Amino acid sequence: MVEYILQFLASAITEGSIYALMGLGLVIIHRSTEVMFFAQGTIAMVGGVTLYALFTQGHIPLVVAIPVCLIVCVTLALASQWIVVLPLLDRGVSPLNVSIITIGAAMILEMAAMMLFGKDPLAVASFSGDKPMKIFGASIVPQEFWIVGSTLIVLFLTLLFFKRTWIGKAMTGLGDNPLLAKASGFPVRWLFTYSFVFAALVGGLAGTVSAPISYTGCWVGTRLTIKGFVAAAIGGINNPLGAVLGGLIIGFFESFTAGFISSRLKDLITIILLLLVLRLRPQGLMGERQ
Amino acid sequence: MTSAKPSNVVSFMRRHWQILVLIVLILCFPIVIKTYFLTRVGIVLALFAVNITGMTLLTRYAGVISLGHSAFFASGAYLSAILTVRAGLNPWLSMAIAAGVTVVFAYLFSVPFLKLRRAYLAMATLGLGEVAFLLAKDLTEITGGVSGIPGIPYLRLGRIVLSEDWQIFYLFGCFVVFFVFLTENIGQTRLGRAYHAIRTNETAAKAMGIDVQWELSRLFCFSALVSALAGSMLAHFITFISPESFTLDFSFTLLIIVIIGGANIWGALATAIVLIGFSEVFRGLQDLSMGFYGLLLIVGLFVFPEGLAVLFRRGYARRKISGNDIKPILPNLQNPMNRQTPVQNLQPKKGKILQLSNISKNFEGTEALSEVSVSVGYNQIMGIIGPNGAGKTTLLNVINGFLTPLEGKVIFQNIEVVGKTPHEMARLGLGRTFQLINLFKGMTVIENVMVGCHLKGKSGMLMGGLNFGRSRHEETMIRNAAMRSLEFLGLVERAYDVVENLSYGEQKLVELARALAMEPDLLLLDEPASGLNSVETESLSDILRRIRDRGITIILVEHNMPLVMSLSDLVFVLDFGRGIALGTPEEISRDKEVIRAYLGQEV
Repeated sequence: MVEYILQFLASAITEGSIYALMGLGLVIIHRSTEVMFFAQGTIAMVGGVTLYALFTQGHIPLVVAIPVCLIVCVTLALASQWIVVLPLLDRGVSPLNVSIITIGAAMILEMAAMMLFGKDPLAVASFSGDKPMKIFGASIVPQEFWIVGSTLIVLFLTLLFFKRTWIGKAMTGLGDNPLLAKASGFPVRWLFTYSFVFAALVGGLAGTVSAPISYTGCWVGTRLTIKGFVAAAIGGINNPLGAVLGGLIIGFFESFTAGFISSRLKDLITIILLLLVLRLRPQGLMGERQ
Repeated sequence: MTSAKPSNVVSFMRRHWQILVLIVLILCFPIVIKTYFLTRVGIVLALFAVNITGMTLLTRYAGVISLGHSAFFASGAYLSAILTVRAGLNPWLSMAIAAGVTVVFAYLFSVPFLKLRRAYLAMATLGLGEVAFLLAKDLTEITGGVSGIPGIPYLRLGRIVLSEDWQIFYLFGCFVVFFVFLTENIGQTRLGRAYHAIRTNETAAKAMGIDVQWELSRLFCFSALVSALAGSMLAHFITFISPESFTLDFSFTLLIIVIIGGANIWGALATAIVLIGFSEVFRGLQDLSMGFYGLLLIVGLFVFPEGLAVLFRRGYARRKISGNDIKPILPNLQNPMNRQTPVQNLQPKKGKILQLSNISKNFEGTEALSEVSVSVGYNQIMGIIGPNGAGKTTLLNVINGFLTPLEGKVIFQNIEVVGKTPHEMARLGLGRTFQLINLFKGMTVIENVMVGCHLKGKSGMLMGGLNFGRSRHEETMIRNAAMRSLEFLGLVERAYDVVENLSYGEQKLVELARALAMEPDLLLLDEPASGLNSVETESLSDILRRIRDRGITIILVEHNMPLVMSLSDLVFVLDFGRGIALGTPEEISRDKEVIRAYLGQEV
């Protein structure tokens, strides 16, 4: 029994970490632009398939391949920001409508991925072998350590970024009161750019490190986006830590529902949790009241 | 109403030529298009057309983003399929039951979730769509799981089984015409203006007497109803349903169509034809169709930020003012705006229109108002003055129902009104203007003022949508009332200008006109003279006197002392949330306490 629980816990933390990273990126963008960036999961997907091309097909070592993947992600995120998000916001289209329009960017990226890689699931080799380790009876594959480890590092850097750097503090201010931030002479556009770069790095990392665990392919983007949104909504759409908490909560519920009740119910439970949180505490578990 | 019949027909055709074109197109389609494939494309298009009628009103008029309308589409389809296949009901009956039950679902969802801010609401609808999909996929015993429900019967008319594609197309065509007609009319009349008002300025919409929660809820149910009908039509058309048709992609596609389409059903229809037509005709390239949607979405919104609707907009924005619009003003003595002479000869009502006693209000520990008591008699102008932060606007918001006081009583026209919402206050006869301009952007001046007449109309979605008889009469009445209000303030020439194009002073007047159009008994004015030049202020003071002379009581919060002192019958002074003086302008200008509050400690 204990080993079952440990096993479920391990997969809860792994899956939860991926959701947390997705949620984190969405929160960072939402804080600064009020846009829900629907292409976030697609950008993570691009990270995954690029890794497939470089690492699995091209046999390029990881130390080179992963940074290249991240650069590709950042480039695409910036492109969608400069081509779609900013100009539309400038034209007075409401952030909510701009959010919907980013679905367009997601669709285009997805189509491009489909044309390049086809529709089939792509298997990416694990970073450090597939030999599971036994920890208190639960077997854990090394890739799970990669995922959890990178989440922890990202979290640490995020906190440092918001607490210590000028840009981080400015981004907090922007999220709290965009108008005032503009009036006090913050270079708001650059902050938008930083938030997209940040989100792309986080999303790209999630896409690359998670690719070996499950298959990757052009279709994973939407699922990742939705999980990210659910994580962010549960934790608090404007609170980075909340998104991480939300991601872990979803991972936990999914893993334990699948393990103890039925894997048919795991998605349903998550959604019901989302609706409950929205009903009882719309600002999210860690969100501040508006 | 007395005009002869032929001219009625002509005027109907003039107003609704697009719907006539649509009918002709639908009639001709199966005659011209003989291929099996293209007829099927036509049917799919019809299904989308029905779906987007409700979505256009919901998303583009009222500004509610739903990412989960696939839930209602699925609910309609599955209920209809289950009732016919498993319970053997008549398809028409099952369609009606499916639609009815879906509306109940939609209502139950809307009650808690429509209260949320729009972004959270979008999340909740996303969850709703996912729940529906998962239920369809996983409740295998009832829904057949991934393999779906086969063998759904066709609809029949008497003995005729509607199994031929052209028959189905004509049947669906009828639905399309009906709902497009309804949507078009709703969009252009009272409810459409209310939705626009809710989207652009919810606060002002509430002050105009619009019950935002109820209107949105009703609209949400309407859009769920049409989606459910479309779902049920789908089930009886392909006679087989499976969860695949009800994914998130479906909701996204609907949303993309209405976003590109804009706030007008014709824009949305044109978009649907291009998008669905393309993806069906190039079915072999299905992989590319999503990318094409995406591209069209981005490019479309760049070229037309307001959506394709701008190509189809006839409405008031483009129409030049014509004599016809003002002409049919019938003398209506109930309406104070319409009296030719002031009402001095009428006995002024005795007693108090508004009594506040011991009002206290806190904001997170800061005392904004403490034990404020004051009352206003009928047909007076009361000025409220006080330094910045004295609690003047807070007091107005308490009277108006935007804020609930911590303690104290508000009695308006002999009714205890604490706890009443702003739209209920509007219904009781309270009008309001705001400190910062709170107009409905994107609407013309007259449309803004017509929102002020919201409570004069009663037509619901069906009657308003059919737009004949009483509800048409109602529109004329509202338009005339709005025109009178504009006339009173000398704004008739600007009636058909979009409100953002007016000067600041004119916009303030439009706001006043909108409040007057409510025909209030008591008018709350929050700094009407701020930002006006001296000429405008002069004319404002004249206007306010005329309003008072027509039997409307005014409470005026204002910093412009000469204006307050010359207009007011009584002046009430607030300082740090306390009422420190009440009296005639002469008394107030001599009051030591007041002078101290304004000029510093000792004088």
